[in-house]
Amino acid sequence: MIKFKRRPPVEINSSSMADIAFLLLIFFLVTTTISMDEGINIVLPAGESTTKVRDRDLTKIIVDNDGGAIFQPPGGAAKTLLNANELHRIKSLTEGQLIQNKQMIFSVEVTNKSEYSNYVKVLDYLKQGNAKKIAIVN
Amino acid sequence: MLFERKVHTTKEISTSSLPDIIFLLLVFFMVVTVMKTFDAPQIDMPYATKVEKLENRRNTTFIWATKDGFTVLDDIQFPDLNTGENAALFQKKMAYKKQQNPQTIVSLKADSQTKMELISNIHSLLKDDKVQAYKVSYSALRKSSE
Repeated sequence: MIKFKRRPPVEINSSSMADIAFLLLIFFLVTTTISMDEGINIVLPAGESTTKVRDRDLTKIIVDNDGGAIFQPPGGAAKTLLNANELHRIKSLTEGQLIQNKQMIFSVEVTNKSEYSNYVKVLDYLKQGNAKKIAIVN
Repeated sequence: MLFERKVHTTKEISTSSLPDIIFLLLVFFMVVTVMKTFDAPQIDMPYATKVEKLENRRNTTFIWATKDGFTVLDDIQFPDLNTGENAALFQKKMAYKKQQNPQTIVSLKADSQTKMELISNIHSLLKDDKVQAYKVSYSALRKSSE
């Protein structure tokens, strides 16, 4: 009598396929960088809009060509001259003004020859000092 | 004598479809990832601490301002925004964008050394009655607070 041997079916083991796919998925998940745009948000005033502001509610910050600034509180109070390395003091000066008057508006005036980075720095320090109302003077 | 036969059954969950599911996930992520590219000029952005994320990239219009005084909007280069022709084209482009999407936010990507004259020019053109794009975000790189 002839005996037939039962041969096991020939298959490629695909159990590791899931691991490979997972590995690929994780690789793409980790290496994909989604660049999020970040910035300092402001709202420009409408073209013809003019709003009357009381002098005592307005603090002026004038940025000069060298990157320095003048911090001029309202009511003839002593102005503070800041050189380019002292701009960080705007934060504490702003906080001080807001303690005195919560409605304070901070008007930023920048000369045409001044650099954009100085303008952003001033806006940043104002925001750090929790200034909510910021006006831009062109 | 009665012999009881044990029936051997395999109690395994079939994982043969797992690679398919994973590949499907992979393909899904590959398809839905949107990569927006621009021919943007090389700029050195300023640093700031109090930066906020732009919520929706679809509503964002990017304007580049280089230190040499070039402005780029939608791959169109404006060498000098002071000239009436350039300013008019710039406004026309922006007005169209604002009309298409009233929620438009302008992300201004300016070089640290760009003169404020150009930035003021851009401000004036944006807030003009023809455009009325008032929401501006000064693009900056995040730095840790001092």
